[in-house]
Amino acid sequence: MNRKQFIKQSSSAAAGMLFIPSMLRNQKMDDMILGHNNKRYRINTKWSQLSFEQYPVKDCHEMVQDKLGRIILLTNETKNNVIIYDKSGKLITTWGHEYPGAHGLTLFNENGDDVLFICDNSRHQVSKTTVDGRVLMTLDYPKEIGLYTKAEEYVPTETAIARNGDIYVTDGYGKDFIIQYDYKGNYIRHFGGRGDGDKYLMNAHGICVDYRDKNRPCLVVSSRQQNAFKRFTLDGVYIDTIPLPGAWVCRPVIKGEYLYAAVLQTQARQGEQSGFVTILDKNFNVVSNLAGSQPKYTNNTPDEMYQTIKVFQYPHDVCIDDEENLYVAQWNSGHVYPYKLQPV
Amino acid sequence: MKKLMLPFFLLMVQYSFGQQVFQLTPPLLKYQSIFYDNKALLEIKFDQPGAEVRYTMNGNEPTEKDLLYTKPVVISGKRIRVKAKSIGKGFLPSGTATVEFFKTGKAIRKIEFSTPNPKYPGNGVGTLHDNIGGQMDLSSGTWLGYDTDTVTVTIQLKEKGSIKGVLVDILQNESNWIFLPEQVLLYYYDDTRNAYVPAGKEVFSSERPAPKQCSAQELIPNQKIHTDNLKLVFCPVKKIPGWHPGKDNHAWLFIDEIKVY
Repeated sequence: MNRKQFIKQSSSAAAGMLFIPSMLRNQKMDDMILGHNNKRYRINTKWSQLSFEQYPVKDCHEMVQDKLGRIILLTNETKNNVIIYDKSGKLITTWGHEYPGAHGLTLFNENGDDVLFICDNSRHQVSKTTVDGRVLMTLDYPKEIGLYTKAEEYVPTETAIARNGDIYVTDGYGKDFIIQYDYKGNYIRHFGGRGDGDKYLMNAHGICVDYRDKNRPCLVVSSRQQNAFKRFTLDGVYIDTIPLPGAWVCRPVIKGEYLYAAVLQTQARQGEQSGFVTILDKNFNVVSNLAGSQPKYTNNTPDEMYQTIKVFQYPHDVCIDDEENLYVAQWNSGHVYPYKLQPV
Repeated sequence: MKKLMLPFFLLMVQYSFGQQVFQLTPPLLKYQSIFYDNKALLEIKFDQPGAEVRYTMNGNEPTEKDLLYTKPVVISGKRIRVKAKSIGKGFLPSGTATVEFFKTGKAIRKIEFSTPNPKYPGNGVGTLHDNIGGQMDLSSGTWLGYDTDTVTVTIQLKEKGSIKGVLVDILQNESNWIFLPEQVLLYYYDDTRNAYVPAGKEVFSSERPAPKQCSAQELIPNQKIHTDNLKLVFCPVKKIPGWHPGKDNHAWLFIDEIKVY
């Protein structure tokens, strides 16, 4: 059966069914709201208005919003590595055919101009581009630190850019180091590295710079396999660990006073499409889990968290726009386009 | 046909209400071990406003009329299977979470086993009879992991007795290349012949994908046995079947506990 036939058959069958489920109709069904406390959302899974034949996606890895309000999606589909939407899900433009391992997408406003940093797992490189895809700089594997013998050992997953332009790259699928460069791409230092001690990381999948405490800016880094974020100073000194039991946290995304993160999967349900989205307040307390368990604390540590509703499969990143809407991009989830969630 | 029912139901509900209906995730089952001397405690976790957990202990699929989970469940009895589902208004009920608990069997003096892969050494010489097992997490430290062609386990009981069954807990986690073995052979030591004598076997098929689970398999002897010395020989899958991404590679065998009844 082709797709057209299927839709035809199922809609006529469904029309017939309208008269049948009276038992169900008697139930008053409110709109389903995801999340807890003051961070609750209504979901729209049909936000993207693209035709898959024309604009296919593989893994939808990360999303950002630029200064024009546009939503920029990065996928490892080389027919269109970058898809640019307006907030209503309409296509504005696409570009990019040369990023087969497109994974990390970070936007930085450089003296008034938006620039993008793309981490490519397959190319073992970080590329800095304009928002329309012109390459401005490329960072190769960090030979200078003497810990890598070949490019293949370096699999960058994310970048974060400090206000002074310093670039932090996490080698999240390689050796879990964080490599810090100046804005020109000159190596400054490296820290982290794979291990289970405090200052080490296990799958340093994401990173951001947290300026919420003006006097003490810091780096927040995912240690995804350890179900935690770890904080470091901007010069790489370990500060503390924020345990998030059960949650495979992808990159932290800070908007306003809150930190948002896609949770790829539930620790207790690995490989079972068990992701959700978590939201932490400025004190790093979990306040809401979208499609996940109600946040609870015992002795200042969150109770084990887990997916409760099968809304997402493997959420990989969140983007929060200027109107506080949330977009969720997913990895390995049947080539789905991002979902949009509106606050209630 | 059964497979078509769920998507069809989803469509039906969506068209009726003009909104999307989502399925709940099965609840989390928390326990120290599925093996116990007297009793075990089962905690069920599912913290979702508007939803609750219903469970059964008789092997039936839970419905909204079955037991409502409110506090940890005490498990006793020889072999108890608990099935739990998350159910809530406005949601499709979850799939079923299942766990089976086993009372300890005959007293075991010693179990010797083939050297496991160093990555999965279990927790010491007593690992197959320490009453600790049944955690699905393959890195829980309780599992012996093998990627060899055969695995041999000899069991010394404290006393001679008649053997009704030999139970082995095996992990099925095919996405991590961990399969049930092709077969398990049971032997007992015959003093009169000074040799191990075949007493039964179980054959498993991996031709179709199986869910991730702890699969406790009980081998029932094909004859009357009176002994204090048994042997199990496992034949792990040498070639992963064609449906799996790891096709033609050697599969893993994971075992964590043996009971003799």
